Amino acid sequence: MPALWLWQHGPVTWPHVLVMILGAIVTLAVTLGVVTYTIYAERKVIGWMQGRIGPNRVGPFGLLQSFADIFKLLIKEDIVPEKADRSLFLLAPIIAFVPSFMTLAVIPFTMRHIFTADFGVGLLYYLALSAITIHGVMLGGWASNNKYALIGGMRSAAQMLSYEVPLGMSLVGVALMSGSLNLNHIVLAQSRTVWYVVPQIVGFCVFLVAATAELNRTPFDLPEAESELVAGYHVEYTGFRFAFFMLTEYVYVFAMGCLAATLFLGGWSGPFLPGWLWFAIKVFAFIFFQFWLRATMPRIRVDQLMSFSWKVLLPIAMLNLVGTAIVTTLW
Amino acid sequence: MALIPNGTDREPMRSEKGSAAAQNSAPAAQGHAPMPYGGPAVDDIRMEEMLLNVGPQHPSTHGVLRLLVRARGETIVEADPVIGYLHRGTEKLAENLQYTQIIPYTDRLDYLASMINNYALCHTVETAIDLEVPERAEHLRVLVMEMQRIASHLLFIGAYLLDLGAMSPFLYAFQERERIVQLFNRICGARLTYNYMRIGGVKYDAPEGWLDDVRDFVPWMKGKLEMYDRLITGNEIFLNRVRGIGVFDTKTALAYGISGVNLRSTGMRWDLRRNRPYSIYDRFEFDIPVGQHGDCFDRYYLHLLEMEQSLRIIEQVLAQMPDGPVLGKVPKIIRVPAGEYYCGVEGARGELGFYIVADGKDKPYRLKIRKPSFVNLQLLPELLRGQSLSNLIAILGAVDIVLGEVDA
Amino acid sequence: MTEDRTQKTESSPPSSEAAVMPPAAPGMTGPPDAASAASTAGSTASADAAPEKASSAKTSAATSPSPAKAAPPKKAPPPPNPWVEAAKAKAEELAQALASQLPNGWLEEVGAVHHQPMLRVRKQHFPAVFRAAHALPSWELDYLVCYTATDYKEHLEVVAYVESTKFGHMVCIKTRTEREAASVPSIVSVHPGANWEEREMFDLFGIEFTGHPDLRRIMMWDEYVGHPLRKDFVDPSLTEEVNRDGADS
Repeated sequence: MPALWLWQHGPVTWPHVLVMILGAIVTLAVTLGVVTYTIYAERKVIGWMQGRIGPNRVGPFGLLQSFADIFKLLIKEDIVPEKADRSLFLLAPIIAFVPSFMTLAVIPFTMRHIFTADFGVGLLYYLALSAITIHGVMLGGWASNNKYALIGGMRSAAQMLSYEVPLGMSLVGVALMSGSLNLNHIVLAQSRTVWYVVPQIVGFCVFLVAATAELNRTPFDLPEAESELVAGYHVEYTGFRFAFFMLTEYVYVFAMGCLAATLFLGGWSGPFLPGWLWFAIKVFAFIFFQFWLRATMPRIRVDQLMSFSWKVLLPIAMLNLVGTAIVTTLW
Repeated sequence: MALIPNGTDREPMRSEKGSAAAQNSAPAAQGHAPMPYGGPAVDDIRMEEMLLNVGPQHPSTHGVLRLLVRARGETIVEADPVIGYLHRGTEKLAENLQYTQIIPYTDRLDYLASMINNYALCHTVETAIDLEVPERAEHLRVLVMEMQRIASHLLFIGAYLLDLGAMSPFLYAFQERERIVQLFNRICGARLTYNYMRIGGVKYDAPEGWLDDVRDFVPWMKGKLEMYDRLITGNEIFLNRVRGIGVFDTKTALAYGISGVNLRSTGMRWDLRRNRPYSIYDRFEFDIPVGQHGDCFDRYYLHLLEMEQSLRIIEQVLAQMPDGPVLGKVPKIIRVPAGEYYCGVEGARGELGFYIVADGKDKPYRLKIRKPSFVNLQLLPELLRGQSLSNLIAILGAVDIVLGEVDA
Repeated sequence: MTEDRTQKTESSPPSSEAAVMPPAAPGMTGPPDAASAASTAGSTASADAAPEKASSAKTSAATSPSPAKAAPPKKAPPPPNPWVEAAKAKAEELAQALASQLPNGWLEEVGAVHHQPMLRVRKQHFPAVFRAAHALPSWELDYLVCYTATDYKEHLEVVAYVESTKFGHMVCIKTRTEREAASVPSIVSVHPGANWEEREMFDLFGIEFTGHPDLRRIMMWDEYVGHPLRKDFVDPSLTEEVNRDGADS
């Protein structure tokens, strides 16, 4: 029966199609569960960091709080502003969400990457899809016909595009070292030698900063800076459409955590513990880091944000890339 | 319309040019050939100022301030504060109230520094009727006023950092403030609107053990101030956002009647506790910290330093605290002799003054409140002109206004 | 009726005031705010500049025949209050200093408001007085402290307290205007900080400030009719069903 899971290596048959669909469903379910409890954990952890209790009313220790929130969002009225561009307004959250979930298809959760694709250009695929989300954010901001949303959407587009470049550059170093764009091969290469966080420490730092910016999280949360832009691009969204934007955001936190774990922290590889647990630990470490930043940092200013990306991060990433190239060639 | 009475041209949050779809399908202007790919001609790309309503319902206007911002791109061309949403006509109400009855109304002016408001009114009336205040009462007043100053400054720092996107300092500040509020609650039974002072003294003496608790509070608070210094002052992102922003010089500040921290941030050593000494402040040693650059960072840092000085004053008051009554011999009905009286005190936000025109009756003929927030806010349009939209909140936050006071 | 708080000042550790005070001072008269009223001098900022005047006032106060305890303020006729006298003298001094720069007939009254020097000027010269006082050497009244109006039923009075941050003087400058079509020249050109206060007076008292750059209502909404701080103002909501837009008025 194990052969059924390894559908990548054989011709496609109907049972394989069934397994693919099943795999997608299971991944979706796992992702939603992870996101739900990421939100819960964020509130709880930041609450502790700020000397508060955090959610503790719904269910034991507030464990059901996120479900209550989702339920609330589901039953809320779906309001479309009268002067909004209706079709784009309705479409934007979907454009934003779908790619966020699709990126998870290439993440090797375990060595046998049961539910996901063993994809030759997995790294490129991830970067390409995650860029699509920008369109959803920008369209949502524009279609709302609200000035705050518009500014938020524009900032968001500018920011995500700017940080996409150093992010991509920082990943090239990893690709050079492993000689592959296949995420699973990259993990395998790391399990044979050393986690790439060690030789690629500069790249990892660039990645960490750029990833935080890509995720629109503190200190780079300008697109939704609530104290300046009220809520940024999703200010006019309510109910489930708003939930989609939220979901997108947290799926990306998860996906980016997965990418960090895969590329720099050795993915599922590690001693003693089973692969999936190693993977989960590494992903959660990344997510926790994001919480920690959020509880600590004020928000960076928009012009400083841009110059930081182009004048600081990008040169560092380039140098790292050149250095890595030289070293790998000579080796 | 009652909410936004200024007419349709100022409806908040809406593009004045109709729907986005309508904008999109704007017909190509005559005389310009469309671009080859069918898009709009270059001349059709409209460059126009954007009218942005910040407030009155906005998370960072600290109340119901509305800023009508005309922006070109992200650069502010002009910002016009629209106030009055919280106007309650305190000055008019006071004309029909006995002097003692006005005190609760002062609580609601700058509701973050009610004790100082209480004092400013009582002090003016006492000056007018030449009334002696018992020693213990005067000490208690200074004590609660300085504690109030700390509470108010704490809230400023917390709220300012929240404006700049850092959430934790806000919650920390509230925890520290909570301890002060609890102490106030024990001395006067209220947490926000204290109504604690009376003409001729204070309403309640300190309860058993209260002074000891204040004594414990001082070193604890000093430790907390160090924590704030470590947490905030050295943060590179914070510094980059507030340094060199919202700068004005002493000359401008004086011309605009700016007072309080905003004035001192320009390097002017001007504190009414020293420059027009009132109460018993001349008995205490304290410094008046001043800034150097007059920017938002100086204003932030001065708040921190002033809390330190307030703690020093509290320590000295506690050391000197005499026994005795807390309310002087006050006539049942206070009648102020005909005349005009003005007294200003150093409030948490600047010079808080009460101007009373009395006609010998038990109610003021006219009461004018010199509201520091109101005066300080006038400078805001000057500070914002030509700035980027992202600096708007940083500058507005540092001016430190309380809308209850601005609108009175 | 009372002693004042300056007495406590004297018992305190040395301050500039105690230094200029004769030892016989306890029990002296003077209201609690005497220090600020007589000299308006910062005890630290201008400790050297002001006490010349202050000390003369205070010595006269100390030797004054009427200790405060024996003279409750309500009893009439009270002997001349030395603080008031000092303030009047100071007002005279300022009036003389200003006279050379202003046309004849600018001054209507010289006196004291509580313990502050007061000049009441003709309204045409209102801004000119502020400009001259701002530029006057050894006065430099550069800081507008309090600026407001009062409705005295026969006339409206505009009151401004200006202070010198350098020398510590605080002076009250007043002017009067008739209630109908009330108008006063604006002092925004001298003190930009008067801007909103004048708008507030325009709003609540109906005083037209000529030359004001941006005179419109500030507290009430633009369509509002009436000036609430006038004494004859009647809240329309008490007399009729009112449309908050002011459309029916």
